[in-house]
Amino acid sequence: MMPKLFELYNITTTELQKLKNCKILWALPTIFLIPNFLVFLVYASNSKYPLVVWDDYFLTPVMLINLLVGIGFFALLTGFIFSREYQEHMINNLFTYPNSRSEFFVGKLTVMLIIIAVTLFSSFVLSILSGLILKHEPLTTIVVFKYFKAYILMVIMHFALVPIVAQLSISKRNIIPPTILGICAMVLNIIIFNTPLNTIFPWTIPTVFSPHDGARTFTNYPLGTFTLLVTFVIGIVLSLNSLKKDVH
Amino acid sequence: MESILEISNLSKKYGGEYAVQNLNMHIRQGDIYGFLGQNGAGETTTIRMILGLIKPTSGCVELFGEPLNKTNYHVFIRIGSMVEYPGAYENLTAVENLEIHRKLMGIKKRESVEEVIHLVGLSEARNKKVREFSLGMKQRLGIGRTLLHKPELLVLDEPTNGLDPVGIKEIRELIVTLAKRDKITILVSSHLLSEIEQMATKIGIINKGILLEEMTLDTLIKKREQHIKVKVNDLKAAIKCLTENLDIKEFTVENGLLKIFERINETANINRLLVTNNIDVEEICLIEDRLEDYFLKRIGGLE
Repeated sequence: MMPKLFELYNITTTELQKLKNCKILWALPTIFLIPNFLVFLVYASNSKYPLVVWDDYFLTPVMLINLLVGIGFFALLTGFIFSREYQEHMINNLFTYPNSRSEFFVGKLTVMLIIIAVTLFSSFVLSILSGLILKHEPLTTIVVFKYFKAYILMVIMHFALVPIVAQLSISKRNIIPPTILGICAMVLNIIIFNTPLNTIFPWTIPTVFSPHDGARTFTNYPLGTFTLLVTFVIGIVLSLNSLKKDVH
Repeated sequence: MESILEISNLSKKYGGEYAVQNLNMHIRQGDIYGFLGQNGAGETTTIRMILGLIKPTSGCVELFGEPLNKTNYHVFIRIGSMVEYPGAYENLTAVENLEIHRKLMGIKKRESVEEVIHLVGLSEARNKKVREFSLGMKQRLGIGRTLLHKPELLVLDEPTNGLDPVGIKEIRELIVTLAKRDKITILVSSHLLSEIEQMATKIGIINKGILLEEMTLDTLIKKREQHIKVKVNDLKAAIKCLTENLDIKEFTVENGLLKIFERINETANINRLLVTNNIDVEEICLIEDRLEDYFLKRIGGLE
């Protein structure tokens, strides 16, 4: 058990190392800072918002990330991490290490989990810090804890969408299909968000399950949880199946 | 000697066509096995099956006495391989690329990276990003990667692709040194037949997915065709003289030259006979097929 865990740790650290100097990593924090920056600008420059009301101040970045930014860019990053081995002709090397193909898959998934968690929690911390700069109502532990929980849930939900995107990059061996999927999911999110299908379409679920505007009276949590779980499991199974295929 | 690689009846079928058909290969410890074939002959597919990258349709690959299957990938710790492209992460430096390889191969000794960098002559470019490398440098880095974990078997698919003549010579010398000094068994595929001839101890010729021959270099040298080429002033008289006096029957005439395929060791005798019969000998020499000629004949590309 321990050697296996060590191997997985080793694979994960090398996967992180591979990302060094990758331009896509520069794009990612920049993109994720935009929602926070926009909200900060609105509150700082618009007299309609003389005071930071924390619940509202947290809400807008959360919605923007769940509805658009997170969906699109996590898909892009997943596509990059899983397809680069094929695109950079490294797959022959990767699959001739004394590790199973599924261990590399788990390693890459772990890297995605780390990136999602770091990005989202950076956004959470940035919301607090930028709000504190402005004139604000007292920041209560209730609000902080509410959004801290929301962000933890967001990490889990966005991570659950990773394997299905990974499957597309592995089977197509290219970053383009997962990127297109990300863009389509973003567009469909906006359309589906306020329809009864919002807990059937997996990419809407992070928005529906997180704090959001819209005065919704009923959310089908069991169905949404089931959809997300099924998406995650199917993604894993299909990805592992695609990984077993011949490498040319 | 210990068997390093045994392949029996290995086949790979795509659609209805065989890319490799009933291939048998035997590589013993210390062999430098030259795998010869034209483009699409099946050598890369075979190498991919040896490395578990492609699942064979039928047949078996045994590495170090163990059948290769999806659970015994630990065997790869004993193998260094470079298939088709000298892949490297272009955003990283040579050292960083090798460092990743060192970790994944479970090599504790950090100095091994520097040793390999020095061995493949990339010391000056050690901290340069791979995207700034020439193809030759990438090739060296790829070979360095295959050597870092001190493998017992080295599998190199077209390792001199894209290299200039100096680079080709260096890689060839490196391969020979590794085999002799470090007792590494090497399987190397190439279209450059003259290259294989200069380093291989054993040769396999593959054509249209079928291994036509597998033999040692010594056997191959013996198998290559020899003939005596003679240029004389009177061809008719020379033929008459040779048939009557030496009973030579196996000969051809091409472009005014006489090609004799028997009495190969009697060049001096033939020369003397022609001269004593007043036939002027302008040129007489023993010609031996190059490996390339032999190879082309075997695959039907040269009549």
